[in-house]
Amino acid sequence: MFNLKQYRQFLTKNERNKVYLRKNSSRGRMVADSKYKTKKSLMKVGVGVPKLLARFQRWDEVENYAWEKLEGNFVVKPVSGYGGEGIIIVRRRGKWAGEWHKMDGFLVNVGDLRHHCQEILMGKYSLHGNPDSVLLEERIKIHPMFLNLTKWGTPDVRVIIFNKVPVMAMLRLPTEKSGGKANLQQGAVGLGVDMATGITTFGIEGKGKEVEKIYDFGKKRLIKVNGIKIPQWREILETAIRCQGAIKGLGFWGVDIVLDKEKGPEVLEVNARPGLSIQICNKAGLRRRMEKVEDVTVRSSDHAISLSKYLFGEKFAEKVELKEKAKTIQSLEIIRVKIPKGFVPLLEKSPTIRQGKHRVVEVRAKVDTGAFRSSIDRNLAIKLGLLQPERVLYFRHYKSSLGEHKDRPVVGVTFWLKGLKVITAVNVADREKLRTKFLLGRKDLEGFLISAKKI
Amino acid sequence: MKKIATILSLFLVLYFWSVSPILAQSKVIERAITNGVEAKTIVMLLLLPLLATLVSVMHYILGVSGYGIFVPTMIAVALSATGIAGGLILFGAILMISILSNLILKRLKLHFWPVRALGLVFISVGVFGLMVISTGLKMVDISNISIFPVLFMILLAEEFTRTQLVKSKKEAIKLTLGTLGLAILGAVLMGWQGVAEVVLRYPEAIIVVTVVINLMVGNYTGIRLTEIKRFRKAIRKK
Repeated sequence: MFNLKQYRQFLTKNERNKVYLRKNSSRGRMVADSKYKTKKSLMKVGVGVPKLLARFQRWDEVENYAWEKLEGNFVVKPVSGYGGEGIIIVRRRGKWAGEWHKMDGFLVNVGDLRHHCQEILMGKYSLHGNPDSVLLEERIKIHPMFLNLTKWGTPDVRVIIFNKVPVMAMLRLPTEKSGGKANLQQGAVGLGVDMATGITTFGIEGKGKEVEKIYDFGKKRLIKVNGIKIPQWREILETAIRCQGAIKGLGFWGVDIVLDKEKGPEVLEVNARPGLSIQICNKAGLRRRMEKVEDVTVRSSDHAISLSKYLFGEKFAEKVELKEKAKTIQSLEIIRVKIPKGFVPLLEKSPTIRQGKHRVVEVRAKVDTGAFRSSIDRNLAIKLGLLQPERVLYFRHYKSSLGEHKDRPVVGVTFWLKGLKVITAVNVADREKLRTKFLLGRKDLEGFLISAKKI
Repeated sequence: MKKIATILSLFLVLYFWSVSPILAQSKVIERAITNGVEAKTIVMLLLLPLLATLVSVMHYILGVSGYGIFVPTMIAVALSATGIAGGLILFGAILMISILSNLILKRLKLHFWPVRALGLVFISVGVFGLMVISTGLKMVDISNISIFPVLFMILLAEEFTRTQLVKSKKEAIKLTLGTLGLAILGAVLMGWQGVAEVVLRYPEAIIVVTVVINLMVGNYTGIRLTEIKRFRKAIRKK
């Protein structure tokens, strides 16, 4: 039953400290340990980082800073802190000037912030209690995809890089317990991420408690930890690899990346002593993965990403890729148009069929990339119950290809094209004399490839 | 690297084994004792590296650890001086006082070090009070302990509050319990009559054992016992 061989795949603490941490030179470690130096080096090569508002090295700088003028969207952190200690995240302004709401819901005022800065300067949060300095930076705008996954802070993606190749990753979600911080040590939730697709796999809370469900604040219910797709996955990996070029002398390290709503991936921190719990939420061993890329000479960022994708991708990765491949459509396609609830279609020829729980009718449609919006024949729209007065969204002035000017009603339509659901607005035109009663405009063709093959 | 260490340790063992009859019944130690050095002090001194070795073995192979390597060693010495029960009571009292004083002092929003100094005031008064009470009660006698065990205990309590502040309460409790466990183990080892005799009779053997164990542990890159439990969840069931 008990098989020690199974444990050989894992990177243990002893081996990390004795073998792998020695691959980081003291210079690289020095840069990585200081959030300020990391930020500087990363900015030089153009890697995105949260905007620096101020840096305090002495007490009088803290005292003289115009705290009251700060908008309610900033983070105070120690330059050499570790494990997320000593970080205050402010979400918004409070009722009075000089008062803010923290991420955990409590209030802070200028006095508290000054006192906290002072404690940082004294070295309360630095390694060995050495004097430290304070960073004041802008809090990033959380990507909407992540907004639902946490109530308290900014989720980030930790990527472990060895020999320039991303070997493992996890999505870290702050919880109430972790006080808005994304560190597992503090009680955050970590979800393993497939390297090929950026889809989550397994989850842990804190340093080892397995979790299978997390709370979705958007849907207001528990959701499974697996199957959450991280947006801009490739860009995240590229950002991680670019850090390598900015900080010399790192061989085995981790990088924490957040997704900004507007600016895309930004690097929060580079960690020269990454933790080992990432192996538990991925249910995979770091050691086995690192052995695979140990001797490879990595030629480029693309090479590194391909290596990571094909060596460390989960079994489901291929299926996902197949699904995501752009679908090819012909210039004439059959679409299935949804019939509004409770409406009896006035069609004699085409039968109503079922698409899932909806009633649909098959309609022949012509692809026209010259048109922006799709259009539907007036008669057909009436027969399908789409032109009922309450369904008309608005009227718009159109100029047809024949030079006619007309105000056309625009109605909401749901249809399926090649099995993909499209919810859109369609204008109603007179297509009485035309062979196809539905015209597919380019607005609804996103993600499709149009084949010019003769039918 | 591993091979060199093994060869070196084997060489050391052989060397001392061949030399040990000469050093056995060590004349040096006998002379030191007759000259007035206390036997207990010699035992403590020679056992110190062995204690530290014990702590490192526990850390790297079992995965049980306290605050670094010296704090558990020092607390072990302190416990063997005060007696385990008395030492634990002393520590419990100091810890209680420092937690309570921190609760009060936190409200004052003072600088970090003045807070520590003020905490020390509470502790000093508290320990003094405890000494007075214990002489009155005549239960566990901690009235005549020296200042050093008290200092070590304060150090441990201080580590506790620091870890609790900087990391978490759970981590602090875990590390403090680890330290106390290791220290109790060490104190038991030090108080064992057999061990003292071995140290006095074969001091070189103690040194050889320490060197060999540390060379071996120092090269160990395998899994720790506690990690087996930790990584069990990371194994995929087929």
